Amino acid sequence: MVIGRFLRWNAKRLFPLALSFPLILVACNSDAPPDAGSEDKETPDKPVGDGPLDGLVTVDRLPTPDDPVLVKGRSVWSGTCQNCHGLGIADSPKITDRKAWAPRIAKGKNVLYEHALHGFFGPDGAMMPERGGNPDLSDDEIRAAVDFMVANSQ
Amino acid sequence: MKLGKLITMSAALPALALLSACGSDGSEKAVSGGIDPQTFADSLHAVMASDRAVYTKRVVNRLQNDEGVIKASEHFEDDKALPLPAQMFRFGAEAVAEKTDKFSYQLLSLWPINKQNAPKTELEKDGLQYIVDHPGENFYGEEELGGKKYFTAVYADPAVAPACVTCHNDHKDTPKTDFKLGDTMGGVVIRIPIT
Repeated sequence: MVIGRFLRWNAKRLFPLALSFPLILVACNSDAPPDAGSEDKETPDKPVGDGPLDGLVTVDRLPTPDDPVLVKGRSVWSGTCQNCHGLGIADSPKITDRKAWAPRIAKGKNVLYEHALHGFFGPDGAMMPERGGNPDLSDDEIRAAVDFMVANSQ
Repeated sequence: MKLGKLITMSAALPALALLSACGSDGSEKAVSGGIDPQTFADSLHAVMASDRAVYTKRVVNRLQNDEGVIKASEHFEDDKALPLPAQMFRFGAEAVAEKTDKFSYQLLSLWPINKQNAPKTELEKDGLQYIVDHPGENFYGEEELGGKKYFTAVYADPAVAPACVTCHNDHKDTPKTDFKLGDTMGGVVIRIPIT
């Protein structure tokens, strides 16, 4: 409340500081940092509503698939994709975040494969690097990782 | 407008705005009445991280990678290029240090390319190790330096682009060569005097 009054006062009188106003509002309203969830789990966590799961989503927090393609995707995802998509680093859509993934999934798997294989810049400048930054992965492994991420985010 | 002015403005304006939000007495007033040191540090970091992300995405990624207009380079003056996002961040920290002693911030690493960016206090070392061991979490603590007590917060600084990884892994002065995308490469250390 006190902070808000000060900020409003500044925003009215000092234009340069007003430029910073939206950022500060975001800063002051930000929630406490999430707890990491990397400890071993016997059963996978279940997202609430549109998700995502709290904290770092490690592969052991997700259901173990039966489909051999998803099994392969799970392995690839944990080795390469989890580093960013497990937390949502650099504006990457976090796995289990159904709301963030919905518009992406709506574009179709082929678009997601294309972006993962060859890289992609989002409309706000966020970047998905080519092959997740791991040039050793095959095309099939990349596609399987995309399948695994989509299966856990819809 | 010259680059130096831009850097100073982009770093100093949000920081000064936050300072004004905390009152003219800075951290002492913050502790007794308004904003607590952790909220102050978290807010400062949110501004820093947002500014850096905007520079990375809207300037570097767009001009270098998407439109191919100009590159970003560690040797940006010689190369007539853009400063790297991490360099912009450091320039901002230096500009803020000239304007106020109410807080300071640095980009430090357990594996610095420049040895000056290694942790110096025990709390900095503990904090940097903590954020490496606990992805997604921040580190907070208090330390006494030169007879003065400080609240110190450490926030993870992950590798957000392949260029971060390749530059650090391949640099002649790097002590670590196996960074991967998304790894915590270092941390933002914010220090606020509380006595």
